[in-house]
Amino acid sequence: MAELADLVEYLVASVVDDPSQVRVSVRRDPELHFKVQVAPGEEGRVIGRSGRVIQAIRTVVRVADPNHRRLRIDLVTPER
Amino acid sequence: MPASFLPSQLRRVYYTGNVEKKTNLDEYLADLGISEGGEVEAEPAATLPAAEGVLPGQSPEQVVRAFLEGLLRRIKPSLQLSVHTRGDTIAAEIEGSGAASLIGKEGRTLAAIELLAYTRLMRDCARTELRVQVDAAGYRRRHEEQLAELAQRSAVQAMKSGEAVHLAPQPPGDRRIIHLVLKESPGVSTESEGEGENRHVVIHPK
Repeated sequence: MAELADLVEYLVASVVDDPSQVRVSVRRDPELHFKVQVAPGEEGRVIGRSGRVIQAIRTVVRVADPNHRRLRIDLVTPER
Repeated sequence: MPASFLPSQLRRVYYTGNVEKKTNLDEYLADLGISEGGEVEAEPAATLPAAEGVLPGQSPEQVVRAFLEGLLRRIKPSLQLSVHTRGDTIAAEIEGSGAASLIGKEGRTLAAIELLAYTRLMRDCARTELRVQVDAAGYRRRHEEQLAELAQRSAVQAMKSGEAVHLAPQPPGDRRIIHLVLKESPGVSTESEGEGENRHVVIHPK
């Protein structure tokens, strides 16, 4: 699971301008649930037009999961 | 496609995360490759802010290679990667035991990897004339061979019958291959018709 979180972080960091501000946490509830945080204003990059980038991230992570669990990836906004 | 839809505008739309329906980027690029390829100028990379963690002057091929190496290291380190540049296409091939698991139904996983590699490339190089193609276990190569056969067969049918042949709806990359295969063919011309999921190639006898 830690490996999958690392994968999510890698993919998100590959599409944003400021990779240093990418944070990913994961828990089972019971599906795999990733919470992704990026620099303010960069959410759109992670989502992509019509959600294509976030959908692609989901597709790749699902393939990487040996158990092929249901998964959920949420973008969370940092508290100010 | 409106003629005023220039690459610079495209990129802006792309990065705002605007989720309303826009002209499909792949379609745009695919069509560019056929009819307008030479006319589009990329914005000079120098006008864009340098992305953090990227070495200035990295070639597009190096960017794609670095992205895919990082990806494979995290999901299947045993697989082998090769990356080549052919014209405007950065073509990557993934091989080795289990490479086929990266194909996905109808190549969807490959398409997802391509989109992410392309997004990374645009961030780091911003060369909108480039395409990224990722193959695994020879899937794309076989698929392209089948498309080329379909194109030739349909062209013969159009010429013999004297009537336009409508192919089944296809994704942009597949349509692009049909167009390319028949581009030099003296007896037929091709165009795409229909919108969205229904967009398909029509082969007209000349």
